[in-house]
Amino acid sequence: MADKKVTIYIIDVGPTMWQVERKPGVTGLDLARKAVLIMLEAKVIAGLKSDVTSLLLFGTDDKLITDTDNYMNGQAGGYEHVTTLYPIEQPNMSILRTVNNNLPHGNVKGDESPINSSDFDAVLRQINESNVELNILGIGFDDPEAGFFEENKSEVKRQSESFFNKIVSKCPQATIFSMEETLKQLSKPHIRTVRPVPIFKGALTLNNAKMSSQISLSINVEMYSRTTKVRPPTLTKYSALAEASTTIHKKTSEVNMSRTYTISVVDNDKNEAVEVPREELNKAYSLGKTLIPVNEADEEAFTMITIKSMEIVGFIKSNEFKREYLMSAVTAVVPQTNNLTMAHRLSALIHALYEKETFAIVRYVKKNDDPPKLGILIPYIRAPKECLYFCRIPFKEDCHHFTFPSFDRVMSKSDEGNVKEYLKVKECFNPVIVQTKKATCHRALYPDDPLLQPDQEIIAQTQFLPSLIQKNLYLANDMRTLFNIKKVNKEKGKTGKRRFADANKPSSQELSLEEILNKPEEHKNGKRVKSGDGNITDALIQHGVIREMSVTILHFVKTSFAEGLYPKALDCLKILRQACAKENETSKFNDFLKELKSTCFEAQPSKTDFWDLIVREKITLISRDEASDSTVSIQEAEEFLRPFEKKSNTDTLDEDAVATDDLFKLMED
Amino acid sequence: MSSTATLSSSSSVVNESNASEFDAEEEAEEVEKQLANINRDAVLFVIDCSPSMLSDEDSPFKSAIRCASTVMMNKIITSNDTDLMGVMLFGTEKSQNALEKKHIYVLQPIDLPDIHRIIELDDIASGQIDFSQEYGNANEEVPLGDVFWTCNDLFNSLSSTTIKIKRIFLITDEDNPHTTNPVLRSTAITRAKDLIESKIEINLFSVNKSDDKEFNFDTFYSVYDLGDNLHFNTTNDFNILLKQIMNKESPRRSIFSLPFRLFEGEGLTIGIKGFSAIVERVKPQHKLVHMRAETTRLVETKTKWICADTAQELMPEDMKQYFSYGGKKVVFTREEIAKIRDFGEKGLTLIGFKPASALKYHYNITHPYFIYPDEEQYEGSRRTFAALHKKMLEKDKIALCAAKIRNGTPFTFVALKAQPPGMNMISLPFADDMRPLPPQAEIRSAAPDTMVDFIKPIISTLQMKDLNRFFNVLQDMALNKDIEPETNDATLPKYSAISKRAGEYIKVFNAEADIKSQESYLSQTDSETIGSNRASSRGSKSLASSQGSQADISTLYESGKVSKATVTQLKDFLNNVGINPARKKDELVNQVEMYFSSSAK
Repeated sequence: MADKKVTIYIIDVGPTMWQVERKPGVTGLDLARKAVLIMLEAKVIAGLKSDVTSLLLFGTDDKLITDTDNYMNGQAGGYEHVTTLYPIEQPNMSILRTVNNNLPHGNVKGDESPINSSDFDAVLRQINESNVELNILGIGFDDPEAGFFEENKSEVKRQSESFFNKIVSKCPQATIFSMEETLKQLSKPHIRTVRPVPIFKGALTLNNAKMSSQISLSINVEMYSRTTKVRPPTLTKYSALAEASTTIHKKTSEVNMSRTYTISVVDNDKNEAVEVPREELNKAYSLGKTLIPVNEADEEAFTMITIKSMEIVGFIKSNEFKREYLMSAVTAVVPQTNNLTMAHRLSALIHALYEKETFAIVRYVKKNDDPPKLGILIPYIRAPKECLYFCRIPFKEDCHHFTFPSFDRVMSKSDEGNVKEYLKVKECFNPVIVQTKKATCHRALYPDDPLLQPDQEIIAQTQFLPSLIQKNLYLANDMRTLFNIKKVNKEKGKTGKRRFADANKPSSQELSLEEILNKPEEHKNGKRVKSGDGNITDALIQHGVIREMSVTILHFVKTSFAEGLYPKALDCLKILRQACAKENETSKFNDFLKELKSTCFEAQPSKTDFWDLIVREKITLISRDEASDSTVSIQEAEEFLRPFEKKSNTDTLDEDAVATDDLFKLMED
Repeated sequence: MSSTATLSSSSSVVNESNASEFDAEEEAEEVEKQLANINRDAVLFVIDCSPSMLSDEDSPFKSAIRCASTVMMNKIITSNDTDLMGVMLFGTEKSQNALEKKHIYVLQPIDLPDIHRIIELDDIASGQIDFSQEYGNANEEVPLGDVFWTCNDLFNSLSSTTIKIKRIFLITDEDNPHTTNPVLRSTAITRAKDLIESKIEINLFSVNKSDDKEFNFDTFYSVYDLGDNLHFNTTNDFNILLKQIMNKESPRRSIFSLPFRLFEGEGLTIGIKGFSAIVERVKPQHKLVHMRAETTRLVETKTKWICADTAQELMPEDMKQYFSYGGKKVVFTREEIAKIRDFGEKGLTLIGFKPASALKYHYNITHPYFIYPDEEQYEGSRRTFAALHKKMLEKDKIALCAAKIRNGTPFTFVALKAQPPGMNMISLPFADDMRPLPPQAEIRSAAPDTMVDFIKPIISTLQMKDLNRFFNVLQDMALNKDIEPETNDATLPKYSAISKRAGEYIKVFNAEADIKSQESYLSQTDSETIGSNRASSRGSKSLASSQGSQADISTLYESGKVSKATVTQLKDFLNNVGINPARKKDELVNQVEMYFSSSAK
């Protein structure tokens, strides 16, 4: 049992641990409890017999269950105020419950008397010789690296700290961690480590080694998983009927699965399902409409006889290989364990492939009589490790050739954005697994609580970054106008062909200004929308055009050459304000005006001259005096007109750049 | 033929009641298979039988019939047993169709493929069934409009609602029908448009009338504006015709259609459709049949849950589910479990972009999907997708997205990689799915440069120009009983070619590798005698035992000294060549000698 593991948790339960608050309402013992609980929960979830734990407390006293209860004390006395709460065993619910809500508070002030260091050297020797890893989680310990120093530290604690530091300097396997740092690390989802087991052991060959050992290449290799789909923990069924029953004696509440086989028989013109015993059934394969029964001998004849092997079929330039041919999980091909000769040979192959920018195509038979598979070997070198990655690639009949029309007309222009790596694979945890584990741990301790809400951090990982949403809002608005996407109403949808023709219509080029200008008018069931026309407002609200109008105004402002489109924009803005004030939609207008202001000052080149116009025309936020639903006072409304300090904008945003480029900025932070 | 039975086409109806399944942990593949079942494809071969199509022994007509047979065979031998096929001839003297149109002969109505139908087609192609006797040539012009009308009628008479893809494979050499009869011509155009309106796709496989007269797509067929590129000129070569048809054989069956959210909020969500372009074809699953009665019947398998205490059958609501945790049962209701599992919102959500290089080769877990814009969900999808697509190619970026293909399937992160004309959607592993590299990947001593250099010419001489050649393998394994091992296995490398082209280079490399390993072995033992740490001496001890077992054993065999090898060496060797090693040394030696003597032949 190579991987057997014992972890002993030792918690100080002395007065300083539960009397002193580290954060408001949180004592040192609370922190310790939390850390130990998380570590124990991971072990309970994994449920390994080979991973056992024990829990020791020190600082215990006779006001508790017992003040001293340990093996050493029982043998020869001494070792007082140390209690073995749980002996070494596989952790279970009981230890979890104790740690979660039942840790005793000790009254022996360990902290106020210096640590008894008489056995120090012997203890250290013992630790080192038995290869024990010692992790000390210090609460409020000084951390020179992080620049943390606790104030008003007692002399005793100072001494204890230096004592621990001495231990660490003398034990190669001892480390001091800060409690805060540890808790932060522990809050990340725990991934169970899996002992690597080879999937394949054999020779990677080139040419037929049997026939011509001199002119064939043979490298003994082993293959291990690099990616494996991890499934969420599985549930077990049990019978609620049996559980609820009071009449059953020895209940197990277990559920058994049974299979029934039925054939349909026509009886009195009705199809009836008749059960048939398993022994009366035969295997068959369907050949189209025809069923062909087969017996075992036949099946054997179907099996292709193959020999376990991994043979190189040829090589291909890496740039001619398409990433999308990869069709399976990935494994790593490494040299046979402890075989330096083979390590050399494999290393030579890895480096030659790498330098020549080629991959090897292999025929792979996992075990005798398995159907052969095609795979690709990709060199991977990253000191201090190197290997060949193996992944399955398709045979011809696995590839489907679909013909799709290509996209011919698209928008142009480009600019460069700096991209930061966000969401690396190793940071993306499977949310279902995380949630299942969390829900289980929580439910076990608090059976009556409702389901835990999904982890906000993990949800956030799967969505747009909020900071970037704010930043890119105006770009997104531009794109909405530009691409003019409409949800299709299924009932009165056009025919596929019509739609196809529409889709091919180039968009940006044809969105003329006049068209946009006239758009609000077309929307009004024939009613004309004109500046100064008081009757338009109803229509404006009714048809939900506020947003559209806003977008149009922004568009005018931003695309206006000099002041060309300003008058139109200003007119529209006035109409919008009037309509919104009248229809109690002030928040929509006010929000938009804020957006517009930002645009004026942040656009490149800036459009502050348009803001000057707004100031001159006194187009303020809609105040309480004008509309009852406003939350803005007259004073605030007028103050809002004051221009922003002009931002120094270092972005090199090309003014012609089309919205698609801006999508790439979503990753910038 | 007593052991075969015929199924009605309704027997392959799918069980769509999975939603009610208690703990439906649906595997993506399962779902795809089911989708294939509710998204069935029906292909109608429409073959022109005019005299020019029947010209000689290798006539285009016969090629077309052989193609139909091949396609049907292909459908039969893959696990796909839900797609339908039909064959219709026109320009025949005799007629056979429900509309009683002249010169149109429905040879095989649209139905499940069947072995008898293949035999019939093969018999026509080989001449066993005499064409002129059975069907004959029409002595007048056949209205193409009638042909299309009959097609429409055949498709319309299909009752199943699960047939979503309807296609006509029209094979003809006539590029300009009814030149002298404007009425027939315009009727033909109208009927063709009717087909398109009813979402029946026309795929035109054209044949040249003669070597110097190429089929002209523009004289007539382009008038229809058939939309996508559905015209394939195949000259007169059977192989080319077959290749074109086989390329179109698998229907463009979308397996999902989703909203693609490019930005939060309204107005920047487009529609996409997903396809499985690369997916492993697996050996067909066997079925269970009951053969005790006079007819062979397909058996339906049902799973029941039985209470161990009361032997009662349990309904889903009679059961609860729990996780075993710390020796206790932690119980959840079905709703709670569904809530935990059903993470994420259906659709594709753009999170951001990364440089293409961030998509490492080892970030792979399953086959990719291919996605393409879908105007049927959102108008403007195509132009938006196209712009995104172009930019991604230009800037060499991939898009990172959160994906949930349908309710009930697991949430994943995916990378979108633009590839004309769509994008590949590659599922990324979670942190949970990544395994560390094994310790053997640690570089213990780098290979000497000479060894690296000696491998390079081997790679150069065996470099392939075209990957497709190697995909062109592995035939109908499951059904071909006469497969002879090795001789017929097209997946095996071409040994003679390898020997001829790279043999000398391999020889040089092996010699160099032997020298180097000898050197390093010596230096290793040297350093050991000088005295080094525990770990390395442990390492080299087993190193010595398995040192170059493969090479050594063959040398020993040649000099007749196999028995000198250690048991471990012999076992390693046998394992490597795929032989199960025996227990005793005598037997092992025997096995090795057997191996060499049998392979020496």
